[in-house]
Amino acid sequence: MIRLGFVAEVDQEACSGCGQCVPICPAGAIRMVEETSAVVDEDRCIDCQSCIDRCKKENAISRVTRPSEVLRFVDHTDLDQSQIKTLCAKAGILPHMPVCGCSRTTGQETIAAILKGAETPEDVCARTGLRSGCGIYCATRIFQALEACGIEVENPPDRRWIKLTLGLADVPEEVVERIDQAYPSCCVGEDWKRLTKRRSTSDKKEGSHV
Amino acid sequence: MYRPAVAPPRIMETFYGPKPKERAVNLLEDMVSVEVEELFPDVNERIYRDGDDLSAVRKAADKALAPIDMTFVKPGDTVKVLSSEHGFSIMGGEPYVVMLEAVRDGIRAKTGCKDIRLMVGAYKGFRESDEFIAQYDLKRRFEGKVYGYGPWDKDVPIETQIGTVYGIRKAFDGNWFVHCYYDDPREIYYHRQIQRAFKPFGMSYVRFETRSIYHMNFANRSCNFLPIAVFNSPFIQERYAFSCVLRHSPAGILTVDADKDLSALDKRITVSHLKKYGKMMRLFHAVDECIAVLDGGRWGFYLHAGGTIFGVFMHAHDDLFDLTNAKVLGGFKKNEKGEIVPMLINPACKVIVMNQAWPGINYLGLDETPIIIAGEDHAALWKADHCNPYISETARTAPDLNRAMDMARDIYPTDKVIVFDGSFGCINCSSAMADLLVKKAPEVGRQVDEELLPMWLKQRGIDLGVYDADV
Repeated sequence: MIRLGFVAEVDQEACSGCGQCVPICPAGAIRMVEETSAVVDEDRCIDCQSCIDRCKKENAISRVTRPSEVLRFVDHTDLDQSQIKTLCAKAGILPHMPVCGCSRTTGQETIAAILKGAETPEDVCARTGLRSGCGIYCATRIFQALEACGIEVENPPDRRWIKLTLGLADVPEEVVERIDQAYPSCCVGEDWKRLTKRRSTSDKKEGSHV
Repeated sequence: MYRPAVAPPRIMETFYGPKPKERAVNLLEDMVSVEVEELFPDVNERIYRDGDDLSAVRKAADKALAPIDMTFVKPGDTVKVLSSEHGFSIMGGEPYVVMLEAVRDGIRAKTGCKDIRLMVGAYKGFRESDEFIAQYDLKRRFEGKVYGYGPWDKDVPIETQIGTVYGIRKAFDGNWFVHCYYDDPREIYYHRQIQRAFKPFGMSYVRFETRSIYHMNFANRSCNFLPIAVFNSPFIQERYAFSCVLRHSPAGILTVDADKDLSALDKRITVSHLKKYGKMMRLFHAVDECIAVLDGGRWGFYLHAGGTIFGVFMHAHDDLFDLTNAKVLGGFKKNEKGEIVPMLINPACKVIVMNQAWPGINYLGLDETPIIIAGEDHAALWKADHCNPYISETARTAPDLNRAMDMARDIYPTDKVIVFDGSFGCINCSSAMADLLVKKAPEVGRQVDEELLPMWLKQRGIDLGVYDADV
């Protein structure tokens, strides 16, 4: 859940229409109008400020106060909890645990956002507030959750994001053994065993993940 | 009697943080300075600590680069000199720039190559690189051949032993690249001093998706294999020229080290860090209570005291070098009230006072530590920061630093204050904190030398006799 007191606003006079703010928006909140200026969808904006940072004309996009605070949160309690638990396990995430250190959006909320209609990474961000902070580290969790829910996303042509879900548990055992021999201090074998064991069960202990 | 507090490195004006203001050591009463060498007499070597004379850094860089084979670089080639963000913020950043200049000059002199491009790495902000380029006059100093790069730039797929990841295309689109790094250990709680010298191959040089899996999909120790996998990939090896590293200790800059063999370089770094930073880490562990003041021009977790970052202090309740400990960072747990909170924070830090520090990065683990922010403008930045909604909701604001300290002492009355202001070679602190550090240091030093260091080395398979060089 995130609280939004601000929203991005484009100064139509100042906007050059370069479009660089469009692909950098994690929530898909910006679109170009007739290729001349950018427009922000308030209902999708998560106030990450990436567009403001990206804008080469420094004052063309600014942060303005919303009329009232908005919460971005997806309630999971009205959904089938066993389904959420199963999908979290499939995604390699824990239901009650944050998938993002910034927004602290939980695994179950991320899955719930998809079960309630999010079909793209941008949809998940717009509904949950994921990637509203640093925008970096939770990215793979979004792809994992979409994949677990059976949604295959194609990498956009402009490469604004690339679906990447590779994890230690995906590494074949024989490769793990080779790594363990060559780089024992990385403790890859020990961690791999714990992670693959965990992935095989949906009944995980809170706080047990690394 | 202790010496007065030492002036910390200057703060750069920035788009991302508060407007620079008066430093904490100039505002607080009873501020003294304890030299690292006073605490640990064997942590005393350095070629640079502060001041305008960087000739020793340049000399060390030239010496390190002299034996490096560069014959494979042809005059018509393009060489990318890859730098990383944090190097520009250590001890004012100029030592790193001097090393980068030496790399450029060394390649040019040895090979006749003219197209040598400095690539200025960023954590995430689009203006970070531009700020460094302006601050250090890099366009002039690198004759226009300077370019920013960051995690959102166009990708290039890199096939590794464990799968495909994505690097930053413009970092690797030359004929060669030079890995120009710093070895300030920074986040020991994350990399655990495992293959530290490889880390940019999982961070600075790769796209945000790769950074994401590096942090989220591998465990606290095993994540350190991902940068090695990237480095060992044919794509990287075909372009890799050599490495050049600005070497640090808590006392200051040790030297400049260069090598084609990054593993050998990494082992030299590891031995040095286990010996020197191990003592600082364990000294922080010995602190029983304090108020920590953050006062610098970068993200607060990365501000130094005694050459060691605040993040290490906040994780110093654990032995971060002990590899039998599977995790020291990254987990959440339920607390007694059933709330989800980050695991493992240093309970000795009773209150954090922020005089000046950047938001924009997650300060994981501070939920149970009261935070006071000095200055309304400064607080406004934090209140609008989605990286730290918990801080924005719970931190209290004071009109100025001294009032913030009063509020902190109301929460926890202690006269032990430590300031993280970017200092190397010394710790700026209150006299009571200085008393504690001086009292604890001898036993910490003994314990590290006699008990912990042999264990840390053994866990990493390092023979001290082979890698314990002059630094």
